[in-house]
This record gives sequence, C-alpha cells and structure tokens, in this order.
Amino acid sequence: MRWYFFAVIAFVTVILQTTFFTTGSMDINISQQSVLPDLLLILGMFVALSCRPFEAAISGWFLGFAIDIYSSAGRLGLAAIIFAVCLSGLACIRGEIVKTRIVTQFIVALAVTFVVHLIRYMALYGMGESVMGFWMAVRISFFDGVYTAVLAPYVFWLVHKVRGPLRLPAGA
Amino acid sequence: MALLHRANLNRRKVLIGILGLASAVLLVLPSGVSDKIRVWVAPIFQPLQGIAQGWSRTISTRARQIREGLEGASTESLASQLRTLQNKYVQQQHTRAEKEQQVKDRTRINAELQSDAILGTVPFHTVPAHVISHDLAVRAGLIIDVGSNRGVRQSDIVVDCFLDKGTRAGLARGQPVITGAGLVGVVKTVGPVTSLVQPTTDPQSRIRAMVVRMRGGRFRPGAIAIAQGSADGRRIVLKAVGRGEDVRVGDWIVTAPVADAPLPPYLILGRITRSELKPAALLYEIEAAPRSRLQTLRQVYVLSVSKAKDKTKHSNRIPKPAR
Repeated sequence: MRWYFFAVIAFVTVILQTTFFTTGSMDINISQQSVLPDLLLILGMFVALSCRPFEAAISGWFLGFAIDIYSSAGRLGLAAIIFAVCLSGLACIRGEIVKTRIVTQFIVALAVTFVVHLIRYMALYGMGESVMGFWMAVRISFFDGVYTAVLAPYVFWLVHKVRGPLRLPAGA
Repeated sequence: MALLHRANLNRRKVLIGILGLASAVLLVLPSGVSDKIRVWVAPIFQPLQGIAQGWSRTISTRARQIREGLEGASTESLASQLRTLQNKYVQQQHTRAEKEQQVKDRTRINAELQSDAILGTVPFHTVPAHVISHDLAVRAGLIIDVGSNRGVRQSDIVVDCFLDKGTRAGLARGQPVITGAGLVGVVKTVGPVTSLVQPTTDPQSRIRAMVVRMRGGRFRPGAIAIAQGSADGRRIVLKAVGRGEDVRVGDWIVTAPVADAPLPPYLILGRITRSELKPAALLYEIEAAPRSRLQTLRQVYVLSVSKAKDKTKHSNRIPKPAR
C-alpha cells in the first residue's frame, strides 16, 4: 500500500471529522450526549477489510493517534492502541466477510464502531477522564455505531474509487 | 526470496513493537505533557480546518433552518388540526344538546297528545323543524300601529316563518306547528325542503277555539269561538263570544274539540289577558297572549296525524295545560 497517499486521505478525513462532524454540527443529541460518526474508523475498517493484519494495525494506530490528537479527553495513545488491536483483529477475519455487500458493510461498521467506542469510553471512565457510566456508554456507543454504519457504505465507495493510487492488494 | 520474506517479517515485527512501545509511553505520560503535544501537533491541521469550518458553518446553518422550518410547519399543522378538532367538538356538543332537548320535548308532547282528550290512540308523529328565516308579510290594509314619529319596529310587523322541512319530510298544508307550550302556527305552504308557517297571531289566521275555565278547582269547557291574530301580530283575539258566556282573565284558549275542526283539539293557543264586556255590547272583547310566539322560536315540531282520525271520539275530560 502507498502509505503517503493513505496519509493524505487520512489527513483529509481528519479535517472532515473535526469540522463537519463535531458537536454542534451534524451531531445527534441523545440524552444530552452528542452522537457522531467515526470517519477515521471507517477508513481504518476499509484498510482492515482490504489488507493484511499488519497494515491494518499500522493504519489503525495512526488513525487512532489522530483521534487522540484532536480529542481533548483521554491520554495520547489510548485510541491508537484500541484501533490497532481491533482493526488487526478485523483483518484476521476479513476472509469470512463479503465486503462488497452494503448490508455486510453496515453490520461490520456497526459492530466494530460499537466495540471500539465502548472500549474507549470504558477506558476513559477507568482513568477518571469521563463520568459516563457503563449503560450510558453502551447506548452512546450503539448510536455512534448506527450513525457510522449509515455513512460507511458511502465512505467505502469513495475510498474504493481511489484504490488504484493506494495500490491496495489484489481482491481489495 | 525466503531471506527477503524473513527480512520483511522482522521489519514488521519491529515496527509493531515500536508502535506498541510508543503507545505505552504515551499512556503513562502526564496529562500536561499530553496536552503540550496536542498543542504542538494541532497546527498541522489548521490551514485546511479554517477553510472547512466556513463550509461547515454554512451547512449547519442551512440544516438548522430546514429543521426549524419543518418543526414550525409541523407545529402549525398540529395547531390547525387542534383548532379544527376543538370546533368540531363544540359543534358536536351543541348538536347533542339540541338532540337531547328534542327528545325531551317530543316525549312531553307525545305524552300530552296521547291523552284521550286530544288524540288518544290515533296514530301521529311529530317532525322536528327549525325556523330558518322570517319573511316580511306585506298585506293590504295592514296598519302599522305606531306613528311615524315613533318609527317602525320590526317586532310590530307580522312575519311568516320558514321551516327547514318540506314535503320530503312528510309535511303538508294545514298541519299544526307546536312546541311544548302549545300551538304556535299552521303550515301554510309547503315546498320540497322548506315550508311557510302562518303564526297563530297572524291577523289572517282563523282557528276554531274554545275557552277553558278554571272554576271551583276544576277545568271546565267554555264558549267556542274564532281565534285570530291581532292587527299588530302580537296577540290573539277571540271573536264571537256572546255576553252570556263566563269568560275571565286567566282562562285558557285551546283548539276546539269540534268535528269539522282541521286541527287536533285542546292544543293550547294562549291565555286570556283582557276580557271586557261593554254595557251595550253583545259580544265580549277578548284578547289572549300566546304562550310562545313563532317569531321568537327556533325549534318547533310539526304534528302529522293519521287521516283515519275519528274526530267524534273525544273525552269530556279536559287535559291540564302544560306549565
């Protein structure tokens, strides 16, 4: 994979995430909590479904680090390690997933977002960086997953259009 | 080839190890240091963020306007529906109250009409009707009995009244128009959906009437005469009552129980308010006040009696007038 091209795509995705999908703009308010999609995680999922676990882990680490940078809560490296582990796990089972079907993309995006966000919220709670309890974290993670899953097929389609310059492996 | 593959594998492992170590170091860093790193790295994104934020604000404002517009329209639609439902509810309440009053009136009227003295077992039915308008009746010779210096008041002018029922509801010419208080008029002309009613106070109204007296605690039949409306259309005048009759103020006037009378007997016309017998006169001057005036009513009932009525079979027992 061409990492510098991937870095450009990730950079643009961070810009979109921090400007368009932020609290007060395109967010959905549920129980006084903002529900937002995770575009960086969608990008990471695309790489995980298209590439090997090693590349999924590397891309996931850097995407998670980007989230740590622009997020005001939590320690640096938390989202990076969570992304790397979860996306490499997804890459390990990518052979079982029919990634071209929209329903599959929706379900995978929902499940991965739910797990990643729940782990992150629980880790923040454990570190004392958040007051969100377990059930609230479950609910917010679920809605984050739904919002992300709705956008996932569109992001997959967009990134799929540039798979040539990205030099993804055959079958991506 | 195997060496190259092994070298690649080692490189990957080293890289994974470095990233894992970096994550561990970052996690244990104090929060102050983490914040400083964030501040140091943030300017990388700022140039494009500035451009994108302008677009973001425009899109957010537009989305909020659309959402507020939809909520406003929805609220307005709901408010409009609420007003419509409230109006319908009030109308239904009014209709229900009217129907309940109709049921009460008809029950009472039917009970009185079914007495032996009036209709007995003769089949009849009452048709409820509304007075829908009043028609100015201009008649030759009708004098408006107030001077021009006083002006003309509409209540002094005789009017006919229209009902909202006609032949389609079973109405026919000559049928009595009654209320719980008694007879108020007679159907004069009938159309398909409306009818014209001549009030009992109309000067051209002629009804065979009978005086009913209360003497010694009992109602007794009195003189039979002609009841017609007064010139001003507000009272009933009783004609042809001879000086030998016993007529006093407070006596009742009812439709006469005679064989050839077109109206059912003992329908109350009014109560005598003036009864004068001048010394040299042969006839009484009797005036009666109607119990209710058609011109002031809205709900009335048209009595339709079966043609097989036997007019000779009337009891001598006079029914008590309804209060």
